[in-house]
Parts: sequence; C-alpha cells; structure tokens
Amino acid sequence: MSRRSRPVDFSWGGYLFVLPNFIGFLTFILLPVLASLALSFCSWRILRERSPSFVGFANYAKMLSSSEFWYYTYNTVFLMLGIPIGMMLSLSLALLLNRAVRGIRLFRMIYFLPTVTAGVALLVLWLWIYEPLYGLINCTLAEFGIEGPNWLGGGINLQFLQDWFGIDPMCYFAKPSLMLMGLWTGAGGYNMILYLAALHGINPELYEAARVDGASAWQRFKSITWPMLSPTTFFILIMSLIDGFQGGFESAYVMTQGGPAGSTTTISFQIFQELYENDRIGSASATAWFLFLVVFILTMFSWRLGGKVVHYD
Amino acid sequence: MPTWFHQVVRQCLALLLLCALAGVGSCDARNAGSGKLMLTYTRWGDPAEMESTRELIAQFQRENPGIEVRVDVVSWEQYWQKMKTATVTNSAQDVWLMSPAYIEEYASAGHVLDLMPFIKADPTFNVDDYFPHAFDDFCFTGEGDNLRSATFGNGKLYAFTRDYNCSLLYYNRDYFDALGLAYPDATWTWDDLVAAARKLTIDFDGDGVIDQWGYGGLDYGAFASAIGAQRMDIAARKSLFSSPDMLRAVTFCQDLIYRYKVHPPPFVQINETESFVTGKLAMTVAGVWNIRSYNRSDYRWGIAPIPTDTRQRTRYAAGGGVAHCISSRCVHPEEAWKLVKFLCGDAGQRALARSGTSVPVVKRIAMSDDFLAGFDRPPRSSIPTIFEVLASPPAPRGYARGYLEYTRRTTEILDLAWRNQITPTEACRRIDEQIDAILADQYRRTAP
Repeated sequence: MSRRSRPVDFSWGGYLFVLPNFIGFLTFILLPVLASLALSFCSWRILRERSPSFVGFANYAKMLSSSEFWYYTYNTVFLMLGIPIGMMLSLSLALLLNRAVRGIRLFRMIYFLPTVTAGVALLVLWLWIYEPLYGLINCTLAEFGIEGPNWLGGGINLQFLQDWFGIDPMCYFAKPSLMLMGLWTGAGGYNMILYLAALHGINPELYEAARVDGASAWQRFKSITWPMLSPTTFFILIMSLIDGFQGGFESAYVMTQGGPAGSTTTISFQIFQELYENDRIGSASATAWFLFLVVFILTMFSWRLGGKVVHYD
Repeated sequence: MPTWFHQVVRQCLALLLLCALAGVGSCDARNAGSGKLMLTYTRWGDPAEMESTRELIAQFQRENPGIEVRVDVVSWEQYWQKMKTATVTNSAQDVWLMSPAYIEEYASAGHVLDLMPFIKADPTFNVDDYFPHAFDDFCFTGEGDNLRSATFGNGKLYAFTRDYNCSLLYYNRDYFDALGLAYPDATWTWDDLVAAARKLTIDFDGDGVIDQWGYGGLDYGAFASAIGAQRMDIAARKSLFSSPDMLRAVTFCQDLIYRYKVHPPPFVQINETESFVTGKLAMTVAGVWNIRSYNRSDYRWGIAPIPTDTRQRTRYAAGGGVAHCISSRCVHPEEAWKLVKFLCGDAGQRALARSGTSVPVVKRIAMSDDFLAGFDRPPRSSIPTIFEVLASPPAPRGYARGYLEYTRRTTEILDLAWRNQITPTEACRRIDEQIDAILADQYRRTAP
C-alpha cells in the first residue's frame, strides 16, 4: 500500500547498522575459520615458507596415527571425569543457597567469587597452593608431619598396572590436581547460578502437596526437584562436555606447560604447541578441525536427544 | 572461557591475513613526526632487566640525538611466540635479542642480517677483546637449507654476542671443611665427585631420611659438554644421544641417584637453586649467572670447573651466550648496527656486568670490578676458574631447527630415566628416534 511498507526502504539502513558487526565477524571469525580449513590440507612452515603447499589429508592421517595425539585426547577426556562431581557440588551448593537464611546473598556472592576473578590470577594462586616446598597444602600437611607430594610435577610408579594390565605404570598427580582445582573454581560458578534459577522456577505447590502426603526430604528431592531440574542438568552436562573438550589450555599454559611428560597436554594446548612452538600450521589447523567435529557432534547429539531424556514441565 | 583461546587464535590468523592483504610494511610508519629516525628494539627479560634496559636506551638516545628507540621487553615465555608472529607478519623489531638455540631457524629463512660487512667496516672492532669462540654460535656458511655452522671469520655472522656464560660446579665450603675434605678443582673426575658426595650425603638424626645430599642437579648436558660429547650431527640431521659419550653422561646422572645414592630421587622435593642456598645440597652444577642468587646463602661456598669422566680428557666449555640481531626488514641498518654496537659496547657491557645476570662478552669488562664486585662468597682466588673455563674449547654445537620440540621430547624421555623406569640406553635410543624424526621434518626440502 503505502511506500513505507516496502522492505527496500529500511533494509539498507538496517544493513548499515549491522555492517560493523558483520565486518568484524567476517574478518575475525569467518575468514580465519575458512583459512584454517584450507590450511589443514596444507603444509606451511610460516617462518621459512612463503606460501602453503597442498598435502591433501596428510595432516589428518598423521594426526590420527600419532600416539601422542590420542594420549592428549585421553588427557582431555580424563580431565572431564571431574564434570559429574562438579555438577553434584554445584547442585548441592545451589540447594544450600536456596534457603531463606540470614546473609544468604553474602554466601551466594562468596561462592560465585572465583568465577568473576580473572582466570590467570586464579591459576597463579593455585600454583602457590600446589607449590611442593612452600605451598599452602604441603605446608599444612607438614604441620601434621606428612610430607605432601609434588602435586603438579610428581607421580607414582604403580608397577602392578604394568604387571597385570601391561599399561604404562606411571601415574602423575598433575591431572587429578588440575581436576581438584577445576572443582573449586567451577562448583560455585555459572552452573550453580543455573541450578539456583531453576530451583526458583519449581512450583512450590508441588512441595506442599508432597509434604501433605508425608514425603520425606529425600523423596521430595528424588521425585520433584531432580526431575524438574533435568533440563538444566542436561544443558549443564552438554555445555560442560563441550567446554571440557576445548579446555585445559589456560592451566597447561600457566601452570604445567603440558607436563610432566605431556600428561596435562589437552587438545587445545596441543593446537597451540603445534602452531606456536613446532611451527606446523597445517597440523594445528587439522587438530582444530578435529576438535570442531567433536564439539559439533556433541551439539547435534544434544539437540536430537534433548527432547527424549529430559522432562520438560 | 575455553572458547577464548580459539577466538584469540582466529583473531591472530585474521590479523595475519589483514596485514598480508594490506601490505603493511613494518618500517614505513616508523619515521616519527619529530624528524628523528625511529628504531625499535625488543628483548626478553624480567622487570629488573626492563628497568636497566630503559636506562641504557635513554643513554643511547642522549649520545645519538637523531635516533629515537622504542623499547619493548617481553617475558621469556612469550618471547619466541611474539618474535615468530612479528617476523612472519613483517613487523619484527629492528634490533632484537637472539638465542643460539633459535638463530638457525631465523638465519636460514633470511629473517636476520649478516653483520660481517658492518664488522669489517668497523676499525675499532678487535676480535681479541672478546672471549674466544663467543661468536661461533652465530656464525654460518652457506644459504637457506644448506646453512652450516662455522667459526668466526669464516662465513656470515647473524647476531652479535652480548654475553658468554658457562656452567660450573658449586660446592659448600663449610660442609667440605666440616669433614676435612679437599675442595673440588680442575683435576677432579666424576669418581672424585662421587667419592666426595658419598661422604657428604648424611642422615644426621638416623631416622632413615637423608638430611644433607652430597650432590643435586641432573644436568646431563653440562657433564656431556664438559667431555666434549656431541649431541647431534647437524650436517647429517642425526641425533647422537646413543653415542658413547652422551650415553655415559646420561648414565652417570642416573647412577648418581640409584647406584651411588648421592642425589635425591625424583620423589624428594628439591629445587636445586633453593636447596643449595639453604644447605640441603653440598654440591650442584649450575650456570655462572647463579652466583648472585647463591650469595643469599648463609654458607661459604666455592666454584670449580665441571669434572670430566677421566683425568686424560680435555675439558670443553659448555659456553654460550645470547646476541643481538638485526631484522632483514629493517630500513635503517646503519643506525641499527650503531644500537647493536652500543648494547654490546662499553656502556651496555658495564650495565650487564653490574646486573650480574651474565658474564659480559668483552673480556676486559668481565674481569673488571663492575662484574666481580658482586662476588661475595667464593674466594677471590677461585674467580680465574670462570675465565679459564670460558677460554677452553667449546663443546660441539648442540642446536638445530626445532629446538623447542626436541628439547621437550628429550626432557619427557629423560624424566622416565630419572625415575628409573627405563635404562639410560633405552632412553637414549628413544631420544634418537624422536629427534631424528623431528629433524627429518624440520629439514624437509622446502619449496623455494
């Protein structure tokens, strides 16, 4: 009818407003992503080769056949074993903080504090907590006459592992130490907030009805809280898995340099090493795309499965 | 939060692309409006070194009013990532600090200038002013992939040495005196070290826990260099860890723990520097730059050359230093050379000497009070030891391309040997295998 309704009129202005963001996305995300896909099929020593040379799937083949790569993948997965424990802790904290107690806001703030603290500062803090000679943990243990282990650098030789199962008997403490640290920083974080919000959303009438029926606290949790929280739990689990696959870079970079003996090198730290230390841009890109594939599959999986296993109110 | 990393990587790549597209020449924008000629300089260093560097550069600017220098100090951990990124995006600083471990990568790719023409044109340069062999780590003949290590005067010099250091045997004189033992000296062999260390390994209270260890520090490299062991045949791109001398040094280090029981096993918490200062270790091997930190100790201590395996051996120095190079992209090479000369010249060398972090490469200044005044603990009579060691023939060059990767692998494998999980022979075999693969990849023929 009127000229105003013609979409052409304001679409140009609209595009203009979107343009800065689009240019940013294009140059800083889309182009590099496409470049890395192309480079993953190339060999390029950036320091001395002027241009990349095409090598087909060689980078992928080399990656999949290298025992180190699978070890680093194992490290990444192993570090994710902390996820269910962390989720339980987050849920417990959320349940505790969901009560009408005096100063509840203060408690909530305290538990959330590690999340808003700068990541590297926390890692440096934990570097000191784990310091073998003067660190907080080992000094405290020394008070009781216990000599604490070298948390990040040490390990124990469990000979029976080799004798019985024929596997590498060396068990380093670094991975469990990093998991412990992850629990401390992660338990009170966003997961707790998500659980808190979900708890607020549960209809109190359900609890009232259950109480009238004489349900115990555990029964109320099992039959009301847990099912009502299942969408949140599922969301947190998937997000944690995705984060877990991409994780481990900061702690490896700041605390362990991926050691001892590569035991804290995760996929993301491996990408960094291949690119910046070993100067193999093609191999780094291939590993990055492998990581993308894993995360992509996880996301797909969560979309497909999400509706089936989760109880939506 | 982990996606943060990917974003950074992506953004870096994007920047790289942008720079390439826009053809941003690094030097074009540098001539500041002041009419002064602009140079950039970067080095790695801690905050104290940052401060002294700024003072030094300020002095250079006073002496050269026409030149302005922009300084950038980065921590060692980030330095090589920074320089790699800067170099491939053509934005490397004009003058920057170079390590012998990385020189070949940059020189073979043509990223740093040959400094020989400057030296030849400089009437004040006299090679005898410097420690002999101090420049050898940065000398090469040939081009590109055919770069071959050379001695000074033969071929090109890709960086100008600033300091020249070596490793030494440090010993606690109070502990030696308490047992009436003779101090270590240049005649010592590994057997002498073990004999003394056995006596110095003491469980004072008889509780089964050793209170004082005879020796600490599994510096197999220092022991290998002292007997002139060759780590790799760079021309043949082969690792030589299984060669008799290298194997002997690795075996000796493992024996110190398990056979002679004079070195704390890996599960005992020690930090070599701290443990020597606090008297938990009677002897250790460390770089000469540790003298200042050992001065914090309450004990009297001394220095000696690193022992050799037999008395007949010629002793080699595990010498080495860092150097200044000039980027091949630099548009003012003459002025950049002036800065290099200044940093490695009298003022720069004296500042370095006073900081005590390294032995200045100019002999006259290394032997002056600027450097020696900081020596509290070792007797003055033992100081010539340092200069004797520095004058001994250099151990064969042990650096090739891929330094970061092969040192990481080597450390990982040797860690298993120090934990007594594999024999030294097996460790050296595995190291050879790994390094050979890395070298084959590094020296793969590249497209021109």
